[in-house]
Amino acid sequence: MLRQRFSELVRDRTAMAGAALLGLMVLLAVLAPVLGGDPYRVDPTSTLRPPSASHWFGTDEKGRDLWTMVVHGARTSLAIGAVTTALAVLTGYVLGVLCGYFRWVDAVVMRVVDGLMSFPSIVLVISLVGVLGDGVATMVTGLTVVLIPMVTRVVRGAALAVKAMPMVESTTSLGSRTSWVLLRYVAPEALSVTIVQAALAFSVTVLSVAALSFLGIGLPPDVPSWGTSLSAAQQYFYSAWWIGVFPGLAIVLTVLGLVLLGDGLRDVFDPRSARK
Amino acid sequence: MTNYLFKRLGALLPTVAVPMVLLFVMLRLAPGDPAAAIAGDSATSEEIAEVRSRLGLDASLWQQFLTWLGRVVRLDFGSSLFSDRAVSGLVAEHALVTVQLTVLALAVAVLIGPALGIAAGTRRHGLLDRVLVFGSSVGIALPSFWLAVLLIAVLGVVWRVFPVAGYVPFTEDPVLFLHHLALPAISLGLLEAATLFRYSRAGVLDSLHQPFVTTARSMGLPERTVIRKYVFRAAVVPMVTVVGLTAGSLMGGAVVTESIFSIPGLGQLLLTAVQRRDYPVIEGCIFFIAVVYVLLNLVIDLLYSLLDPRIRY
Repeated sequence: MLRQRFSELVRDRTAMAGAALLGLMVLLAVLAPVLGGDPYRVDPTSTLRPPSASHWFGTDEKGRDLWTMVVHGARTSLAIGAVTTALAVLTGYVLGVLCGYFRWVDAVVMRVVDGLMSFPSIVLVISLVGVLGDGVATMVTGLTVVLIPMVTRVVRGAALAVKAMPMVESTTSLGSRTSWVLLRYVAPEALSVTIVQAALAFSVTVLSVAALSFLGIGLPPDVPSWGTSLSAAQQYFYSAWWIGVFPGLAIVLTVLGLVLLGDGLRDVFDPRSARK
Repeated sequence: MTNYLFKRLGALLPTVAVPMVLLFVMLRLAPGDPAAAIAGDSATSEEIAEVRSRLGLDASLWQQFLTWLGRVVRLDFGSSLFSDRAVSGLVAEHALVTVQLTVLALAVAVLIGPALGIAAGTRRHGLLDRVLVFGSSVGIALPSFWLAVLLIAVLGVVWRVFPVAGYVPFTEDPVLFLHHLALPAISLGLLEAATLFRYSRAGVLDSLHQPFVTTARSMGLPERTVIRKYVFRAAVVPMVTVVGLTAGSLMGGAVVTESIFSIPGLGQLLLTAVQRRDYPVIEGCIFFIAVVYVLLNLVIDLLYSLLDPRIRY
């Protein structure tokens, strides 16, 4: 079943374009130390140089090579994105399955989820990270808290649907234990919607990390990140357009890749909601 | 109806309560001493203790929670730790600006998104449809602050059509007011238009296959009439929800946009408060945004029954 869906996904041209974009960014991130120079090397003698053979994307206001900053920024974004997504999806998945199956868990957790879902996430992340203080760990914590409800709600819906299926009723009436029903029937069925949510959560994280570091919240200013580079562009755009263009392009390509891949994943794994 | 109203308000309570409680808990669990951070690096231990008792941080966690709850219920957020101004006044003043920006951005989104969505949906698989669908994907991937930076660079710095930053109150000069808010509203609204486009296109595609459309066609009505009187009307009702949600996410987005254009709105207030750890102000901002959200959701639900007579409460 999983293999069949995978081959369906491979035939989806949009999804593959998305996967290719994402793959490219991952490759840049992994090979950043080889492809770029030292992101912490400041060279005051060559600030704001236009793109050239020695500096493909030019240099920034501190004389750092912008290409280096962009590939190392990919490392920052994707690493935070991957960890946050993994944490949020895992927690949301477990909570969602439990909510779909146990009514009392549902009553408590869903009130919290409703409360967090309808609040603009970026405002909450800014406040949480601001309060917790700078650092990668607090950023991951803040983003995870905001993303969990999104995953939980969708997984819960899928789990509720499975619970109502005849197969669950028959296995329960044959005397299966609750844990068996959960592990054997509910959890695997809820997995497909979770995969779709993972792509969505990842794209939200990349955008949020960029927005936060653009505002100067969360990441220390010397950590290479696309948002931090772009915030410098506000000042220097007129004399150095490249600072404003390349980091932004990196964000758009990454998120576009995730959105396209996510659309494809939804078509394959969650065809009911895709048709809507 | 009244009964329904109360039930809805009750269901929306978590939207206000959960972010507030979360913030309270995070604040108290945060590593490091907030009192020391607020008092500054050169503060003596007496000064830190003074700040701590002023914040009520010297009581036990439960006591703190109860005092805090009592204040929130009475809508008393105290005053800013830095300017000694009442939080309610600060929030009201800045919120007015944010609401204006949000309304303008919403106007941009609503004028562009649904119209293109209907145009694309009725010409499915055509060139226009494919171009717009791709454009909306890019629009969703584009961070609004990058669009803002690009718009400032081209329209503000190079062509000098719009001012790059600042805010003029409407009451002072309506023309300058619009002139200053044009770029922020466009950079916020254009991207939300992409979301509205997606939903309205899907709505049109969905209603094109409804039985009443087939009936209308078989009655021999011209296609234009079918679209205008049947497809469009059926697609518009669910859009109300989406527009409501959009208004909400625009308020969130405004936080970032305001800081780029130096607009003295809620976003700027929140951001400064976060950077200075001005807890009362942070709480006030979050509370206000949550309440607006709740009311917005309620209005949308009520609008629903007005637009679609089949829905009754």
